[in-house]
Amino acid sequence: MKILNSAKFRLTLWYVGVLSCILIIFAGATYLMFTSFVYAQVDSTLVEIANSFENTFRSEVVDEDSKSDKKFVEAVNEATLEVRFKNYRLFVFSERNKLLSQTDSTNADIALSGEKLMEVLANYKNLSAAQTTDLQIGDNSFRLLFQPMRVNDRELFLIIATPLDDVQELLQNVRISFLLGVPVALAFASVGGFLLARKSFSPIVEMSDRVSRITARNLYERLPVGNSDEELKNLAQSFNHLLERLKLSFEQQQRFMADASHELRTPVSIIRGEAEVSLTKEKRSTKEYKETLLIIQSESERMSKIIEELFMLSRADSGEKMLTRSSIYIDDVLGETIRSFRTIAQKMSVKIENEVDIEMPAQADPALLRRLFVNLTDNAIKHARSLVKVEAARETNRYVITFSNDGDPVPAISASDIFDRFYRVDKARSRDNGALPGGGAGLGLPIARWIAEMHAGTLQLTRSDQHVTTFTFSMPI
Amino acid sequence: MRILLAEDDERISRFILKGLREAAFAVDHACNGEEALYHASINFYDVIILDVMMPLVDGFEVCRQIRENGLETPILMLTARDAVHDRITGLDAGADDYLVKPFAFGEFLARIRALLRRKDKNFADTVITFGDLRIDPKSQTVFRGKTEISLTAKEFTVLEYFARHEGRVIGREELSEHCWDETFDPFSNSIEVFVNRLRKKIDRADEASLIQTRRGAGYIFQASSNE
Repeated sequence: MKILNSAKFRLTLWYVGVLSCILIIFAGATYLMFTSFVYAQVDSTLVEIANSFENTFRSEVVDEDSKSDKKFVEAVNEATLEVRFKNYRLFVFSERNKLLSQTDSTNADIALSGEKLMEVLANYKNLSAAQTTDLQIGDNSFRLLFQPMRVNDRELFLIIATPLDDVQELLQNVRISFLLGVPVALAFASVGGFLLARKSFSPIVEMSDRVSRITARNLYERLPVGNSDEELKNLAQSFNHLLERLKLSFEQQQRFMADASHELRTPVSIIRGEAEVSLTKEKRSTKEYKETLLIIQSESERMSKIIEELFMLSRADSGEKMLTRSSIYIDDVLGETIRSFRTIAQKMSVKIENEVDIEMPAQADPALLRRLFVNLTDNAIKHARSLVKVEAARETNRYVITFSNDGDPVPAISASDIFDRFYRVDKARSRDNGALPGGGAGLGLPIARWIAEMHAGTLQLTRSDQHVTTFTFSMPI
Repeated sequence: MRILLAEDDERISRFILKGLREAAFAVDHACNGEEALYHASINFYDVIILDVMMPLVDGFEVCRQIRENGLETPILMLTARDAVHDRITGLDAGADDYLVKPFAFGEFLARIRALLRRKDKNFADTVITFGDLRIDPKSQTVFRGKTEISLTAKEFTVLEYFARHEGRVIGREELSEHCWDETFDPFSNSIEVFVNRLRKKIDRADEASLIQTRRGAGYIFQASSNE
């Protein structure tokens, strides 16, 4: 049931539901008020007639000597004759429930008789106070007013009756008009509501159409912000921001993939090319074969290093917490790392000076810190002219370790990019350095910085001029 | 045939140079785009091979400038990037073919031969035969009748060049341009030495030499006159 899930439909449903509640309550209340108003009108006329009879009667009784029954009954009749209202009939009963007098039935077309009323009255036990009631006789219904009266110690009952046919017809008309009017109004309202909902949803539908057309291939597309409503504008803008971020990370991902595949293709090309060229001839000298194998070996090493680094970066990107801290002395890890570089440094006639003379106890990941120091030392040796110097200091709440070399300065334009993945200041130079096994792929510094950040520290290029280039790693104690 | 290879990565150029030289090509090597442009402007090449990512001037730009200078030498681009738009850029810059690293060396050589064939109708034949002399550039073998003649790569280069231009006088200069790389010394007599050695290997004692000397002009390769 797709339509039931449509917001347009549900909005219309809600709208119609709420509106019908309001209309029904309103119609009901109006009807009730109208009914009680009409009855009040009827009742007040009945009371007026009763009062007018009473006044007339009292004046009749006062005028004459009405002590006798006869006189009294005459007075009642006199007074009764005075009461002439269309559609109203007056009945007067004695205290013994005996009909004393009634208005002429000719001026009121009311099918009521005193006998009938007496039957009805017999059902009423307590008639001491004035009250009104409905009476149904056959198809006709009536409104009755009972009014007890005490005149000269005699008890009288007045009953004034009026047919309710007109009133009921009126009320029925009102009922019919409400019963017809409310659904018609609701029908109009639901059509209107649906159209309105569709109109207000159409920009969203359009937006969703556009968004659904955006794929990895056209991430540059944006939603029109235009002159739509504030909410829709915000939605479009939010979408556009999302698309922008998506595009950036997608591009970054693509660039990374391209760079990674490029980095891996180079050693593969070399290994493959060397092997294939070697095999084109049936026989070669041992020296030639050895040369080829050495190249293949060093390229394989380079490739595994790149793969390892890529793997590390992908774990870093996935946000995996891979820090296993333990109590270590940073100076130990650093010392070991530098010692492991002695041979290589010698081969490249670079001197490494380890000037760390303080103890640096810390809670850190020894494997990752070692990797950080390896990358920085490797980088320093690669770019040094003849000297690499490692120093350390303890500041109030952090350790500061610096790696300096006396090589050419990092060009100013590159300074901000050297921590980017695969970035190389000079592609040709840093790759051709054969002495370091498996030259860098431009991932050393990004990994080093990531490790520093994992330890809540920083890694920065703090100095680079004609004399010295310094990388500074600092880490909270 | 003479080839210019422009490739900045020494480890890659090492095996390409070795492979090409062993496949009987004379090869010059440029380490960056500028060098490549310089070489292309002063020497004649039958094929130019350009790496895309090179320092100073990249491969696309080198290619564009070579074409702007009016050279129609076949150009083969090499790259480690295989994105379609890279290939389009390369071909639009005027390259004739595009090969993505890592490549099979056999395919690389086949593509170079294909480029040579397309450019010059003299290279249309994949196997060249003159009488009972059969030269197969693909396998670098030469047969005279049923006997295989063993030639060095350089000798093969020279023989193939002669055979490809049968019946035309070829000057020493032309020969050195197409069959020797930059290490050739124009004042040496190495061409004469080569040609003589080649004659000894391919000629039959009872027939006139396939490679005749034209005094002051050069050499002419002609199929046996007794045919």
